[in-house]
Amino acid sequence: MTVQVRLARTVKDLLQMAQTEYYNSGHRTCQGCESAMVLRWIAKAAGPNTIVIGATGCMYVANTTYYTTSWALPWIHTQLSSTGSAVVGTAAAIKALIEKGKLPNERINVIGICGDLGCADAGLSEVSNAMTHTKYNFLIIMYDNESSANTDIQETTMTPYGALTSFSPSGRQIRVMKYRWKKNMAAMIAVGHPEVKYVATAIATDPIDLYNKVKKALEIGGPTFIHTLDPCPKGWGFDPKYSHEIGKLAVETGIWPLFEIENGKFRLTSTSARIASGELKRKPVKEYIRRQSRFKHLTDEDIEYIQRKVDEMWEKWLIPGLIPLTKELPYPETTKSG
Amino acid sequence: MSVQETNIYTLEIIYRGVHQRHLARNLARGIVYAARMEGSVALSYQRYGDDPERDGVPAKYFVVIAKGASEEVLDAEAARVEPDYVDISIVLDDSILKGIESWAWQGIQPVHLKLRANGLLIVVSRRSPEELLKYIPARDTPYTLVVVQGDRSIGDFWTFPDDGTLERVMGAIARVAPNVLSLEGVKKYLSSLDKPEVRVNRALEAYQSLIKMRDVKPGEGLPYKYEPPHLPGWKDMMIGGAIPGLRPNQRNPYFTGGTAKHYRPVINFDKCIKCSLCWVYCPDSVFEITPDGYFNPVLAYCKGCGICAEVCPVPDTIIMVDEMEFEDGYGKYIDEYRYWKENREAYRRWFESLLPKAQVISVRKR
Amino acid sequence: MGMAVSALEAKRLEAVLKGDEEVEVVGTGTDAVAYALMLVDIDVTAAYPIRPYSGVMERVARLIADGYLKAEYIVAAHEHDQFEIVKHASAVGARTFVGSSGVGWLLAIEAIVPISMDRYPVVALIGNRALDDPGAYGVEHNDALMVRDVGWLLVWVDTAQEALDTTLIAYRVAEDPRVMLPVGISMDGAFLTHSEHVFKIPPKSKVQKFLPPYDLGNRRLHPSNVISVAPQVNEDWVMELRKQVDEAMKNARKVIEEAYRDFAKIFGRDYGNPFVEPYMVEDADVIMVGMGTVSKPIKEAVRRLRARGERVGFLRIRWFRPFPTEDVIRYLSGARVVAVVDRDYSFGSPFDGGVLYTEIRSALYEAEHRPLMINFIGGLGGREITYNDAINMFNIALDAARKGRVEQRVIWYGVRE
Repeated sequence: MTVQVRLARTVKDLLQMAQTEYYNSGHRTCQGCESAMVLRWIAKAAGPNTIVIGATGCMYVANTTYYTTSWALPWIHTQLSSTGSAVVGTAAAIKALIEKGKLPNERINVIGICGDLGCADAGLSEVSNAMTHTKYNFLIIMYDNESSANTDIQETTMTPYGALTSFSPSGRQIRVMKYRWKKNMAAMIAVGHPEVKYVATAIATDPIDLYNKVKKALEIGGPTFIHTLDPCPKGWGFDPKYSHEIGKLAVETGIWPLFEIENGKFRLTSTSARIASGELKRKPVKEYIRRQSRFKHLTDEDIEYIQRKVDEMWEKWLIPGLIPLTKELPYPETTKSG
Repeated sequence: MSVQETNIYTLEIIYRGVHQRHLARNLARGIVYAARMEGSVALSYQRYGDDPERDGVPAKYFVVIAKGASEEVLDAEAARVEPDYVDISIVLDDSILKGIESWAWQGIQPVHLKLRANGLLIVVSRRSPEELLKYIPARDTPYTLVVVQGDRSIGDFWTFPDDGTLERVMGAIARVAPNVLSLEGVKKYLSSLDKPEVRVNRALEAYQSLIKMRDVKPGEGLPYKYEPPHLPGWKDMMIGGAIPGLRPNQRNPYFTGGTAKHYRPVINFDKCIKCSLCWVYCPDSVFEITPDGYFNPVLAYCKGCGICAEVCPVPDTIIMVDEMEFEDGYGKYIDEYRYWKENREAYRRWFESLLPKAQVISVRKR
Repeated sequence: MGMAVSALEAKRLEAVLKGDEEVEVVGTGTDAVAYALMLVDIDVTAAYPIRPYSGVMERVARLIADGYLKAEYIVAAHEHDQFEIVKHASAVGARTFVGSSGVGWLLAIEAIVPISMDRYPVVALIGNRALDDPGAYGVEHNDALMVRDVGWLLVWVDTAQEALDTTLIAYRVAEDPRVMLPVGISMDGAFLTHSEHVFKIPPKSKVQKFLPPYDLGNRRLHPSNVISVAPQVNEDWVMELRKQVDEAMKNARKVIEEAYRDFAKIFGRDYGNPFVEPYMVEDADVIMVGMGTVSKPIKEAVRRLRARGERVGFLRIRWFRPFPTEDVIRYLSGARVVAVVDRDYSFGSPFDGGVLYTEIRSALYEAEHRPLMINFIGGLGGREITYNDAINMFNIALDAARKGRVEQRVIWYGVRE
């Protein structure tokens, strides 16, 4: 069963289907903010019959300053860890009020937006709990700029291996403070919450893919989840004009696989599907890493280690991007050599 | 010496957000160290609302120096959001002269809003004071415009481009305000760092030959009048932190974000193939769709990231040009599309004249 | 706890839902609150287990399961989750209920504060419980008192009947457009949450006369009302927002008075002074002050001492926020000694006393006549305070009254040396 919803195939489709801005100019984001791109395209895909909830995080602090807003949709703040709570509360209230005849019976999209700190770290239990409330309809978007970006670029569990953050500097004594591997959030949601009908990864660099995934998630109903990787010129250390290119490289190097799981069916999408089919060859991760000053202290050996991990994901995982178990159990050791 | 006759001096460092965060912080601390080394008391603070900085968004640091006084003298300056006045305003990027918009409702503030009468406005620039005056609003009191010759110093969150700007600015302060910071103090401080000779020489070079000054009379400059905000009282605000939202397609009327840019996109509509990629990829929803299907940047809201120029598939169709090539600003910007519609030939000539000055876009496209 | 609705109770519940007469049932203090929630027809509630409050959520679940109440019942991930769920449900226009106890209430505090700052009239039950560590489950008031400064209305009840009635009143006050603040109803763990009382459930028809529908007006979050709620704010605005809350809290005094007056009119139960319950205070030399179920043994002690000719009385503080400053001055400033029983403590506070003591002391500073004051710290962690204990406390206070001075300001009553 596939959701029936009109999808965009081309950029022209986007122009035709999604002209109206609901998250508009005049926010305090950085130059070249890809998270702002994510918000803009989510809002377009969702349309006016939507309530947006924004957790504390970069896109809370940056996207509005009090007594002004960039939202043409009803929007409300929630606490750092509370996106899961807020979407459940909102969706439950809508359901109750409709059933009691206190609201007209119409579909209202409920979208909760949280960063990696608020979602993958502080709010993980709330998000997980929310994902089990299958009688409510909502979409949680985790915009992942791989750090606590608003508070000065601090480490989160989603910070990639080796990256500089204000909590993981490189020093004379310790070169690599961030030794932990990034969590696989979309997979965790999908595998751990089998009743969830739609989970996806996305990136604003590929707005057609992002737009369609938001459309599908909202259409399919129940709790749904999309994890976006958002190149952050500030924290990642590159010229803002390269935001788009860095995002493309994240996908083309295979570091960021784009996929969706629709009613239990896993599918790589867009560029990632073309990589899997052999139509495209993965670019070396070095091309992505050497473009960002947060990785400037990494040695060639460090990058080779990251390359090996990415190769392993594509070549050995049971399902690339999703299930980090190899076909030959037990899972072999991948401790860093040298 | 034009600084006010008091032995407490306040300096303001205005910088281009993340791009100059290390420079601004190092400079503020350097001034405090140098002041200490010549026996003054001093402190420094960042404008907290700017912290942490954002890419491109103008931000401020303040330094207070008291000559030959005890620490107590600084008490009145110690727990401030912003000082009331500054004696010296240091602008690390000349394109910030086109205004500072930090928070909603505050509007676009002139760069010398806090500068005292007869204060010093020190700008790092390749341009002459005369040229810079075209970008600076007129005011009621005189001041002195000081140019320290130098290129715009741009780093990133992890990188301090140690390109001599810091030393040159310190040398400039010693030259134009020796009562605030003497050359000896600057030398002492720079000598305490790594590569001391190189650093001292940079400061000396600026001190001796990189400074241009011009006294600016009341009324000289752009005719822009800053209206301080009138914020509503508690009885007039909605309760519970609620505020009215926007209408679809309406842009935020109380905040533009446009003072974040030091480059801007200029569109060659003659070559535009209407592919819409600039519109698609703009994180700030800057492009307005014209009735005939072009995409016109609403520059007031443009932060100048340059993504549109990067994604444009036709070479030299969207170019990023230094803000200092344009004498508009303070919320009012050229309407490129209208200009083109009204006089295509003039627009083409204008575009051609800007093309050699455009920022280099990705090598692969050129 | 978790009990089925008996056939007898089923008949009575149906009667109050359909008819115009009140019925009498037996139940715990938390049951009483649950029946009130049925009457006010809450739309959304969120549950998470921690005793002693969670009996109310068990009863609500039962009422929903059996069809007496129609509401979305959400089992949360933890208390912070609970409070955020109801905050956001309230923002959309749902009438909500939530609750917790002890450390659970504290875990939720980051979510509790925005409820009042965003002005959502959530009603919460706090089954008062000592804070960890070690893990303790008996009553103490420090949990609820942790939010005394953040714009929540706080009220203490001492009977199941009062719990039910106060819940009805709480919605009326919270949802009043002049207030729009949350209410926390405190109920002593064990002594009220876990003891069975006889109480009356009024008919829903009367509740509907008493309580208008919840209306957020232009703050209701809905696609037809495009607003932004609580965008990031800088120093230009925060004081004004706090001032609005201050004004609402001040307005609450009048609104509470109106609500009790209407309550008496519609339901026929008159609580007299809404803010405090004075008991034999008129001519008293010594007045004891307390909150919650400690009222019961103290009242017994008052009667016994009165029988011996001692002029003693008791003042129960019902509404702690807004604080009944004027009533405290009116009832207490005439006494020679005021003895405050605190089932809480504030380490390192002025004179190393309890919270209630410190607040009453502060209110009496403005009185023309300032009585001597003694503070009894007692009953912490759920320890009993019996009427004999209360008599002992009175005797200490009476002795001070006779001598005209207080030998020990703060007494840890019953603590083992």
